[in-house]
Amino acid sequence: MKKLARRIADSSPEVRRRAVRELGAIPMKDSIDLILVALADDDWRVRKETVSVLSDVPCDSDVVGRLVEALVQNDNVGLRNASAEALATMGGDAVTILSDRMGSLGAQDRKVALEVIGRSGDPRSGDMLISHLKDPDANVRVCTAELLGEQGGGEALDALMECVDKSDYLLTLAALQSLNKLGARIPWRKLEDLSDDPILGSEILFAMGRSAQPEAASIIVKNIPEEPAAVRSLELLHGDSNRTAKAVELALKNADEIVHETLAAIVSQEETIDQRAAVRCLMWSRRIESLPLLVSLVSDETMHRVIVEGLSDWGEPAFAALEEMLPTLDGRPLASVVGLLARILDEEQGRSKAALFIAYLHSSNIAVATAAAGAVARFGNEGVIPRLIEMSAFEDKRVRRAAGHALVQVGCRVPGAVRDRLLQMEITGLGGIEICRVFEVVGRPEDTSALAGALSSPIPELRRASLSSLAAIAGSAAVDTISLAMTDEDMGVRMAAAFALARIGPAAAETIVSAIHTTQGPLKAALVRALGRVGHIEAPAILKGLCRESSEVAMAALEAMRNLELAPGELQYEILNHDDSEVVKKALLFLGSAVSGQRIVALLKHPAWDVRLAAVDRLSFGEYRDPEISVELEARLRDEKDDLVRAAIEHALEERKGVK
Amino acid sequence: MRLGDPVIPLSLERFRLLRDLINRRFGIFFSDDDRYLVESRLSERLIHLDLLSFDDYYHYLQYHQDGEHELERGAEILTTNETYFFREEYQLKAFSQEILPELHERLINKRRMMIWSAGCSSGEEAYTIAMLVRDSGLFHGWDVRIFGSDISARMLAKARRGIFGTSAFRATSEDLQRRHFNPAQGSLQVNEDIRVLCHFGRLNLLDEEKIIFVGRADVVLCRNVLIYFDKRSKSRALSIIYDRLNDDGYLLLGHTESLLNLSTAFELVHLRNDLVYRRPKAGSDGF
Ligand SMILES: C[S@@+](CC[C@H](N)C(=O)[O-])C[C@H]1O[C@@H](n2cnc3c(N)ncnc32)[C@H](O)[C@@H]1O
Repeated sequence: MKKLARRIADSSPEVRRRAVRELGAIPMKDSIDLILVALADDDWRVRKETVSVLSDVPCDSDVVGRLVEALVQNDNVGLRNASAEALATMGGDAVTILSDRMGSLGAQDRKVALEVIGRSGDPRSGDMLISHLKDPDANVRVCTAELLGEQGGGEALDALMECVDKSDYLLTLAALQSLNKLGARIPWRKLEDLSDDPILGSEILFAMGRSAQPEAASIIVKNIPEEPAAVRSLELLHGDSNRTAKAVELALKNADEIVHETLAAIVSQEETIDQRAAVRCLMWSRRIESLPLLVSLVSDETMHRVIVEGLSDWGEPAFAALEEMLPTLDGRPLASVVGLLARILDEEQGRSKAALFIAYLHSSNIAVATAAAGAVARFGNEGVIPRLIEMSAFEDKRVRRAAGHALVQVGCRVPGAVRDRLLQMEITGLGGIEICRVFEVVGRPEDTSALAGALSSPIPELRRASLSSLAAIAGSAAVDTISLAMTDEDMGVRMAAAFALARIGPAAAETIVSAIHTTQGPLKAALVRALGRVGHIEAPAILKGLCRESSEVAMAALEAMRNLELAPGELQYEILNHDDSEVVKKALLFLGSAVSGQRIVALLKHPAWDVRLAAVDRLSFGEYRDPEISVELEARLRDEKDDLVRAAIEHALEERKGVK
Repeated sequence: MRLGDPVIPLSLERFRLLRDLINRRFGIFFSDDDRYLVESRLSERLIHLDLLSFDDYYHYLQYHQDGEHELERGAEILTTNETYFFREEYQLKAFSQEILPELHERLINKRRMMIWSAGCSSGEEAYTIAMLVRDSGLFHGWDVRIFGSDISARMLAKARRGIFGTSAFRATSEDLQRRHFNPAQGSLQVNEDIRVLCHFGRLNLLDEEKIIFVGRADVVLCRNVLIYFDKRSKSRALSIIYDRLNDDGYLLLGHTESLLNLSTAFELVHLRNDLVYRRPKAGSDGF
């Protein structure tokens, strides 16, 4: 003990910390003096260690009493905080002693004591806190309201609700804060009473946002210039019901200019949490004057949807205003408006403006032409095909993609016209990639020769795209050609060939099976998945052989088994013996109840804890009723060292009892 | 390898080890006389890989995870890729005047024809065949596939580009050049209508597993490839080619090559313009 005392006073914090650890082994009544010294240590690591020792060993009421003394002294803040922390981990005992002493404590000490009680998790703590909402000291009351906001629960809510009135502003503010934090809905008459109180500011506005009361709308709107954060409460209110939504929209429409200016200012500040809410407010206020600001935000991904959806609701006035803006714009802003129109117009409106979009399709500005491609994807017909084909070969990848996408869409509407055009051209270069995709939609089996050039292109990406296209249009007739592509020197092309074979279906099964035997790594895995899609009479034997291969191949084999609904015993045995625990876990998941209880029991001794855990989890399912399994689980529980697995076994045993 | 680059000495013993490694995998055989050629060509690889001796290189090939690929690169440097358009006129005459019409008649119902140029180097042979097929005028609307394969990725890339310099045209008439090529980048590029008939892939002629991707061919050209192989590898390659041929399918070898003492599975066919080999109909004795 003396030695320990000397070490607790050592100059090295690490020596002191270790000494504290050893104190844990001594009965608390003997060590408490030293413990208190350590709790007051200058070094936080020593204090932390002491708290941890205290929470590990049983403490009698003497010890708790000493800690409470330490809590209510005022000389050493470190000691005070450390004892608060230690007491909070002790729960019941600490709460009892603290409540006994509460009457004799000063206001400051009562606050500290209530914090400990609040964090103790003791069932009595709620009631005790609630009683201090009426504490004679204002600080204690406010602190109690905050603590109740952290704790929550029905009674806390009711008690906090009681505090919301005009008599005690500080307490009301704290109670509002807590209630907002808990997402509570406060009765409207209470809020109404308080609504002209400036101190309560944003908290009252937030509470109003949750009130579901249409009357709240105009009050919140009026306050936006003072409390810009109130835009978020408008969002809440709008989302509550049709009635509140209407009220919010009306209040915004009738709002003073200054409100709109504030909204515009919030929107222009980038990346605040209020920005999105303010954008929505502008959408709801439906003022044409806001359009330019809104349009300038369209390219922002987080705003895009809000604006597109909002403007579609505006209908005709927005379309007309946007169209009017067009001649005044160029470059990116013009592209934004064209893109916006492409999204918000319905089919009929869009088709009536087709000429406009076609004109922009020919713009020399790439962004504008790309946006117009998006529009003609929805509204264009034959007329746009030549220009789209031209654009599909542009240098800029985004333009190519947009043109390709548009051609696919137009191809869905007028397949014949698109196909005729494609058959007249050579499919080469990077543009060919897009054309191949279009071919997938409009091509016919007899068109394969048009793809031949792409198949032997020097550009691997084009060879890849042509394979997928070929499989789509020619089906089984393409097997031989795709098979040749399995010898391609580019790995990506070989992968594409594997996918293409999968796409063709049973006619490609033989080729897939032979290819599996000649490949390795990711390509082999892709082929095995392909086998899982097309099936083959020898699939079980082939898959069995793959179960012990590399993880990626075994995983693919497993997926194939699942797709083909194949899980004979010997296959299971192989895959559940894989070296990679990820494979074994996935097998348990995929094969589901096809795996017998006995087989899963065998995994209870698996070297990897995560596999044991997965096995235990499966055994807690109702399907495995054999009482022998419970015996095995109990046996495992005796040997199991891993806490998580132990807990899972205990849980499984409980579940199994329930089932019986 | 440039003039003046250092050459790393290769002992006879190490040379033989390397040679056997390449021979087992690709069939190509080097006699002891080729040692200095191998030494000077492979030194480039050693320098590239930061290896100091051929001992290290041998070790790399055997045990490094990239060893297999490196062996391919090594073999690629050591092989002869010499080739040109319309090589061996007599044989091509036999091909276009006698073999193609016969195939046309035989395959008219299926309207599908597959020709394999095994060891195609930079693709001139495959393109030549495609031009002859087009010029025959017999196969319009058919599914014709001409497949060129080689072990050299470098040569395959060149084949796919389809652009060739003057030395490739030493046996090509001006008329053919005009009809089937277009000027490109100061050289000539094979026309699109010819290129669409040709597919290329990387394939070792001795890789029995991957060879199945070729499917079945009506004609195999394996010209000036087996001459670099030893006898055992030639036999293996011929057996593999035999399996890939349809009944009555033709095998065309280089004009200095014959199957004498190598294979009795093929029958010799006397055409008017040349002698060629053919896989007999099923039921006749194979390997
Ligand atoms: C001299 S070139 C012949 C080209 C063409 N057949 C001709 O006659 O003009 C020989 C080609 O065979 C290829 N080659 C050598 N061994 C091979 C093998 N085991 N598999 C495939 N190609 C091989 C070489 O890479 C080389 O490109």
